[in-house]
Amino acid sequence: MKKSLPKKSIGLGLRTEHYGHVEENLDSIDLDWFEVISENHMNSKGRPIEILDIVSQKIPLSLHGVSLSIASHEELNFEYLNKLKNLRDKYNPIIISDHLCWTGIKKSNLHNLLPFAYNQENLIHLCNRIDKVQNYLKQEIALENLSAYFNYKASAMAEWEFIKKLLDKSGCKLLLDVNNVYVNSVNHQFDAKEYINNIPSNKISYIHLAGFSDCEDFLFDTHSKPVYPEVWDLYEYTIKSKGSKPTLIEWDEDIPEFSVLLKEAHKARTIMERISDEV
Amino acid sequence: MKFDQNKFQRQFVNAIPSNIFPEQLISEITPVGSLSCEKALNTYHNDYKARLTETLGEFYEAVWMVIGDDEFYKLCYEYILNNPSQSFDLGAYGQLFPEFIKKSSLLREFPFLEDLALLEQDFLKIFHQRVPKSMTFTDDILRNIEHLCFSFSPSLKLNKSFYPVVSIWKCKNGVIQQDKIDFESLEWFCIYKSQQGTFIESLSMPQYLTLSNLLAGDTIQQSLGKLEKIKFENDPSLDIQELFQFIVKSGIVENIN
Repeated sequence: MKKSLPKKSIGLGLRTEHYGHVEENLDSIDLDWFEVISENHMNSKGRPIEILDIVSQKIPLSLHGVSLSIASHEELNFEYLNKLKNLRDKYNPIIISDHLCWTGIKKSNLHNLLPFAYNQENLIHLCNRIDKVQNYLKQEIALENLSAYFNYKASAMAEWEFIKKLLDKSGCKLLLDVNNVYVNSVNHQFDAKEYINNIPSNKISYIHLAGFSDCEDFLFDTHSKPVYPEVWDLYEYTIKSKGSKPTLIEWDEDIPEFSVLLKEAHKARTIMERISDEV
Repeated sequence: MKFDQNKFQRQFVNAIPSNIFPEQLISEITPVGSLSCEKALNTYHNDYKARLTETLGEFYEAVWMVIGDDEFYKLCYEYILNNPSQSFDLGAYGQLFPEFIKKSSLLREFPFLEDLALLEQDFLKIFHQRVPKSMTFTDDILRNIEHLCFSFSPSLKLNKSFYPVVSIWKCKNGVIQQDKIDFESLEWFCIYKSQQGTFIESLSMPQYLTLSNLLAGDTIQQSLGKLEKIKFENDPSLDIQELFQFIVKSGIVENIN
């Protein structure tokens, strides 16, 4: 039976660098779930699969993809979806998520999370594709808001407006990346709190937190640093206004020891507990 | 004119590797903050290049060690320009890298480079294979072993090179010092997976030939019979004995018949 995450759950992205530590300390890790990058486990029969076999016995998993390319204007990749389905059937993840973006075209994958124009045409396009994916998988998916370094002149609405409409119409959930909201709010010069205010609480599947890099003329979403104080503040605002949500720390470059990540995740839990005590 | 997202996506993908974006594409976007359009797009180009270079660096670590940072980054960029990533699986990237190296001028200075890249590619393939379902050699089996055929694990790859690629590969972990390598020597070896991990075992020529015959389906008796017809500089019996100890202990045999 599929487990669900309690509201104050905390999780970490499981990375290769920590496989050994996680395997050795599986019984004592104080964590509610691990998020794994789906693609890293689709085409291997080796270590990436062995570790999922071991970890999934003790700690729930969520599958987080980077290649669904939901905003692509080409056909959905059913070979990819089939592999995702097989992984889902084997590990029974609590959530399947990906990104609100496109990643390439047929035979050319940029392995990047690319923005698209926020307009009516893409709203309909994405709703149709989300519907196809959810029907194929026979389950709800969550899509993550991303950081973008350019806008389209063809955009006809704000990012949050587009997301709100998409959540209403498509039946999918939002993986709310608070760091990305902050990074975009600085880069695109909008009010991050207004963004959060416009996201319906019941549509938030869970929250991502990560660290960005300050490149002077813009903020770059690198997942290579601790969560910034400004992002913690925005997270606190989010929890206050939307209630506690399962929260996960992502760290993908210059990855520190597992204990550093765990500490960040526990900080999120402390914030959630403090806020619910105040209410 | 109405914005065509499909056309934009195709143009964007085609332009990213070279970082040369058509005017029309640039006119469709507004960059963030104080960035210019070119700098905003450059962010994506750099990210693409860095991601694929990192992947090639992870897969071809020994090639990187041999040619150094500057040549490796140059080689990677040339490869990336000519070979877009076709799959969602980054693990599938760089399949043609050894072949690409073969055409590179680097081969004049490092003639072993293609073989070294192939060794690393095979190692990665074996790494992603399943752990073998190793059989236990009971006394009964060992008594009749010479008349039996072995079914080897798919996590085994036998290979040879005209260059000392295994020794060079071992330099990356400091197991062997580069100045101790005889660059004129040939090497025979196998890459295999066991419960303990993925390994490379160096073999002598008689060991290589025997294992090759066994992999082709010969019994030990047949394989040794073939070996007797070859004249070796030294008596190969000790090597063969060591090979069988390796076969029994490494867990590469899954069945016998």
